[in-house]
Amino acid sequence: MTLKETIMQLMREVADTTGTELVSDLNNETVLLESGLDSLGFAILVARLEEQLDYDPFTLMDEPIYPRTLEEFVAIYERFAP
Amino acid sequence: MNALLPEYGLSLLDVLQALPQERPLLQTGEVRLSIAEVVTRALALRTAHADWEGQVRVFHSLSPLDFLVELVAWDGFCRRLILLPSSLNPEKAMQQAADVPQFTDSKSTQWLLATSGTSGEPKLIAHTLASLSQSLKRDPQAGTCFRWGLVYDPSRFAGLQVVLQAFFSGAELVITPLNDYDEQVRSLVANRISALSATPTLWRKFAMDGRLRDCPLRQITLGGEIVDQKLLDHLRQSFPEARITHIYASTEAGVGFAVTDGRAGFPLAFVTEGVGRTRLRVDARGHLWLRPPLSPAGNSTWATDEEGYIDSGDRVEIHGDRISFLGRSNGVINVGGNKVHPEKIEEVLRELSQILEVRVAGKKNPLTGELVVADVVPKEMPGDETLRRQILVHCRHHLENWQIPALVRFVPHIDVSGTGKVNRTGA
Repeated sequence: MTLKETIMQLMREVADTTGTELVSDLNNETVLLESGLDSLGFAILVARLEEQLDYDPFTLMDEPIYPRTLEEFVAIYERFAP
Repeated sequence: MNALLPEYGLSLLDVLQALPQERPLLQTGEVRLSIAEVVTRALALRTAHADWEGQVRVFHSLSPLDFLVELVAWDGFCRRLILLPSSLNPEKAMQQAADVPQFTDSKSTQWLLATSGTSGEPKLIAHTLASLSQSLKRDPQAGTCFRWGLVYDPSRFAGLQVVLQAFFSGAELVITPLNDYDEQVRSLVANRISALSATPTLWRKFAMDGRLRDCPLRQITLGGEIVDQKLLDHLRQSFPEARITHIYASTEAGVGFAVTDGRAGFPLAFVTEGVGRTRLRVDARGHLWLRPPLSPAGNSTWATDEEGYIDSGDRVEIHGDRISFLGRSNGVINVGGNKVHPEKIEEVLRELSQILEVRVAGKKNPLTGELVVADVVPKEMPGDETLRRQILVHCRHHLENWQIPALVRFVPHIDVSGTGKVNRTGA
């Protein structure tokens, strides 16, 4: 699975466990806060991704980056992949 | 001209009456009230309920606007105000209120505020207008330059600080809907908010959102959670004109201090020289103790030492000239400003017969500060996701979103420290 696929799968899992629903047309331009996951959901997503991928880019980064879209989110994970 | 000081028994109404009356004070959606209009409404309430003078008034389930107008009406008129967030059960709270001693000084109205308390059950602590406003700036001239957005519940400590800051400086306060994030952001931008106080978690959400860049923010305040350097750097880059203040406030001590140097944590100088009229100390266990200028009037519940210092219950670490926060000493987890007591979550999890033992702790998270995580010793190591699913369904029935463990790990055993207590140093 590519990084993007891993992220999207975990997004679905997190939505499922938090009782929320992702938008049906999730794509690169989807604004994260409009994707169906709320901010707690994203926090959980980051934690689950760290569990699965063994790194957390938000902790690794020196400069603060706050992704707005799914594309930006995936890019951050790609950039900091060990 | 300085605003009148409530130390001398003055009420919120007195403070407002001393300001230029035509200034706008409160706004919410459709309604906009000037200082004069708020004063008029408050006086009308006093006339309509003259028999309430010297009595106890309970605030529960009021709209934010009504809540604020009633604060102005009843402070200095009633003997005691009990501010209950809508989530709190009024009967339970009234039982607690009966246990809080009345002040001997009858000049000041006693305010009882809800806090999450050290054991997870909500607790009421007593304040007066004076003790609540001791950290606030009082310059009504400066007030004309700011328009504050309110994104906190006004009945709780953090929200009250924003409300009182606006009232004392005669600045306009825009009340935003707490349960509608989109509308909240829209309102902040449409009203051109120039001063905003929010938790780091909410600021990160705003940062991800991007719309707030259109707000002419000149005062940015953070509080309620440990602030990280990255967030401060981001805010400085996004709002170069703004003054950024992060506030450490201890509900126990009723006060705290503000840091404006752009660095996370606070200067060692605050301990060696004090900050304002507050004095700080760090004990051998790394606990931060505070001595506020005014004690939270009448609170015999918080243990002070002989010198008047109160243990904040927060652990800190000293590195050179800087002190940073490590978290709560009692293991309380802070998820985006919401306090979670691990023992309570463990109790809920233990209700499941498939679980032998459990340890709940906080895990650092870059978006919400911390998340709840649970290590579970199951009767049998699960081969699939069924048990995990059952645990989550059970949690959803008994806990709030932020209390539900974000990660559940199945382990063969759990560390127990030398005292026989579960080791909570976290994940």
